[in-house]
Amino acid sequence: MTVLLHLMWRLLRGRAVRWIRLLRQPKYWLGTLVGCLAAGAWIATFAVPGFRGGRPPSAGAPMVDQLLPVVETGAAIVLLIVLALWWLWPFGRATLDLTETELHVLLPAPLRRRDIAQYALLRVQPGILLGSAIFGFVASDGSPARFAWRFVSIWLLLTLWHLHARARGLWIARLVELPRGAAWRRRAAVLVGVCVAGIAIGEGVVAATGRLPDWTGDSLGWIAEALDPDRLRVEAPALTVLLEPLRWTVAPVVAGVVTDIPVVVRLGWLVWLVLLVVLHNEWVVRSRARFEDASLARARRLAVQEATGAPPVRMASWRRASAPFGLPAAGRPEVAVIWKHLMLTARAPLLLVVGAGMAALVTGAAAVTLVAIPRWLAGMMALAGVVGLAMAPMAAVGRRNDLRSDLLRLDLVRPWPIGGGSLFLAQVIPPAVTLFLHVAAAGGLLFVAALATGPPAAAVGLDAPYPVVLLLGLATLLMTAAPAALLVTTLHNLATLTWPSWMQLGARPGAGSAARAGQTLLTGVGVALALSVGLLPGALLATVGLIAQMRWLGMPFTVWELPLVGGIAVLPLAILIRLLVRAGGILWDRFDPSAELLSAGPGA
Amino acid sequence: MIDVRDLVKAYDGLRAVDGLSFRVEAGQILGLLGPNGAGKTTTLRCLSGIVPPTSGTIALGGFDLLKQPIEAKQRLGFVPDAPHLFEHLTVQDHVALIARVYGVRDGAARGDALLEQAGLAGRRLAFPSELSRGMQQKLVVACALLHRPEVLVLDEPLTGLDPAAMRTMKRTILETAEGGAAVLLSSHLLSLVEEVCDRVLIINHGRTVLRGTFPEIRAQVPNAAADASLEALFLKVTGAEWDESP
Repeated sequence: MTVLLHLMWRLLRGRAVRWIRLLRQPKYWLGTLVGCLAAGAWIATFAVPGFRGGRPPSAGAPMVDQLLPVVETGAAIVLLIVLALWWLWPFGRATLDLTETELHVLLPAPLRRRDIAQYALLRVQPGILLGSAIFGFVASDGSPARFAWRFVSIWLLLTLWHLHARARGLWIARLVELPRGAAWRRRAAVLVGVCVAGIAIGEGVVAATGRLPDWTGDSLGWIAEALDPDRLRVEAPALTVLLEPLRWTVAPVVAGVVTDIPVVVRLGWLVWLVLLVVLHNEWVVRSRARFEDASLARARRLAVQEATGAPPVRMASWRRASAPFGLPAAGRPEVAVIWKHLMLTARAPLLLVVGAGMAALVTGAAAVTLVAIPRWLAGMMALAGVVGLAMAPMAAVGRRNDLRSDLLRLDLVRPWPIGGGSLFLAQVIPPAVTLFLHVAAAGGLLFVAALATGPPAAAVGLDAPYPVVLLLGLATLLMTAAPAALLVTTLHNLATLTWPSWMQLGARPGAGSAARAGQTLLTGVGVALALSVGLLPGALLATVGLIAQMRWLGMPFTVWELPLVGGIAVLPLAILIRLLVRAGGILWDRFDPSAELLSAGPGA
Repeated sequence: MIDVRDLVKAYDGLRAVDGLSFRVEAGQILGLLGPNGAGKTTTLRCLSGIVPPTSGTIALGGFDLLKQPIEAKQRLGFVPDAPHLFEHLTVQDHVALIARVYGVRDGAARGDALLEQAGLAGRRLAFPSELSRGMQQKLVVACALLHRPEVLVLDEPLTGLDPAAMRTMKRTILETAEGGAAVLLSSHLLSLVEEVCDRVLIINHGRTVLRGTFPEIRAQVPNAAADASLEALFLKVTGAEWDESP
């Protein structure tokens, strides 16, 4: 095991050395500086009381104090449902998180099997520790004691989750290797456990719904009533028994902000979690399931994803023949790049996607106009729309159908006879299209939800019917969303050309947490700055225009002007995008990938 | 025609290619040889516009690669050392993509012919991951030849090919040159170079060591036998020991 620990240390050290070597280049240390400042400011909003309006410590503690048992019960129920469904699902692979190289080196080496498994479990710990530290910091309100508690409890819970996932995969894989009778006995035991959980949950649901007060809009009170642990103990005893160990499991994390919990209770929780982690760890490292083949298959799949920018494709023949749009041989060559990148997201014809979206919008609008839907359903739709809009910038980070995949294929793309500016534009359009469709879908949901709830008091007296006002609002949103999406993807691609070693290239999920953090920080700062620079002048322009219209010309504002105002507001943004795309083209033409991206470096 | 003059490519002060000059006329095949780390791949990457040279000029089909990159690249077909393909595109998608990028108006018909020739006609809907390495290599070559390039640059084109495919590849290279293209071929397979190339350029540490036809090269190497093989000459001029035993 010492050898494996040494290997882990060397790998971590190698990563750190590579990072430090990058800092020799001014662009990387400048990027690090900007990133650190941005991250510091962000963390300070959580950690330093009063910084930039940050939350004062313990602001919500009294309420959490009261609701703690309810929150614990809710979290335990969610965990129980997830675990029951997870174990009911009969598929799983005996995989351990090892790379292809590690498997090829470690498996033939004279090492104990359980040590290799232990190494595989330990090598994910840096990521879990980092995640726990970030979460702990964000949720600590600047208190070192709170941070320590949060950090330890989140770390134990995440480690437990990881171990449980591995253990489940190995357990299911082991069933295939066992004699049929023994395998069936094990399956039956799990099925009985899941059925007991199901019955207990059912009992709880019946008990809770039977005594619930009518929905009055007080969601917090309604949920507190439904999950009241004292009443559940009386009315659903089986569920209470099942929930108890799970409550102990989630309690340390849930109770992190409550101060007056006795130390003995806290220590009890931690001992319980540590015990679970130790037991799960033994379960995994002692498993006799053959993890080698599945782990190698997984490692190869991830290696292909990392090297090629796309996951291995399994697709029916009819889908292979479809494309977002037809690509005749004649025409502007950069359109081929757009076509190629759109296919990385989906092969469905673009017109069909837009048509289906429009049809869904019309159908939804007609349905809510003709049939009154419950307010809670409209509320859920509105919530989904708002969340969809808020998540849009993250969708751009996740999509890598642009330079972030083409930089892995430089041998193919660089010799193409396409000018830098045109090629850069062709790189930023496909993710912008995807992002725009994402925003359009969220906007459509909001439109239908608003139509269902009817006009608010503020809408009375507008100079157009309410549905028309909503349609104009949707049109304005889309008009603004298009350049904003293009700006976001342009910045991501500019950052990719400037700091290629920091960008997550390709489609390997979870690869390069440092790269991902760097990308998120840099592009986050860039997007915020660029949106401010791009949108502020437009907003000023639109405001001045409106003032001129109302004050000097004496013409009142009508909702029909909304799209025009939106258009004026995004005009400076369009100019900024044009400038940035031009800069991207110049960067592409001057881009020298030899030092950072191409495998054969100096002397090849 | 390929015309390279005083090509330099430096990384962090190290000159991977150091003042290289050579010329390949239309219809000629030049073999680029050198030991590992000699600067062959870097030279080919500079020629195909993948990495910018530090200094020097490169002309492809009469167009300066730095001043008129679109025109120069329009005339270039490049086969890299590994069959890099887009994993999410099928064989026929690759042909359609390249046809559009290079504006090959008869792209579909020519693509069909090239895929037929490469034995890929029945695999049009296959993704690269479903093809063997040799078939991937054939697809890369078919894509490189789709637009009838005036300049063909190949980096280790026989890697991963079976004997029959190697033979087809050699024939393709010869036919492309016979069709009037200037071909630059880099390979460690000296037998291939001897078989298909008219002239040879041997480089080491980014500099020219020897150049010319085979008889010219033999004449330039001191104490070389009149029938010395290219392997013997190569090992001698690059400083490696030559052992007569197999």
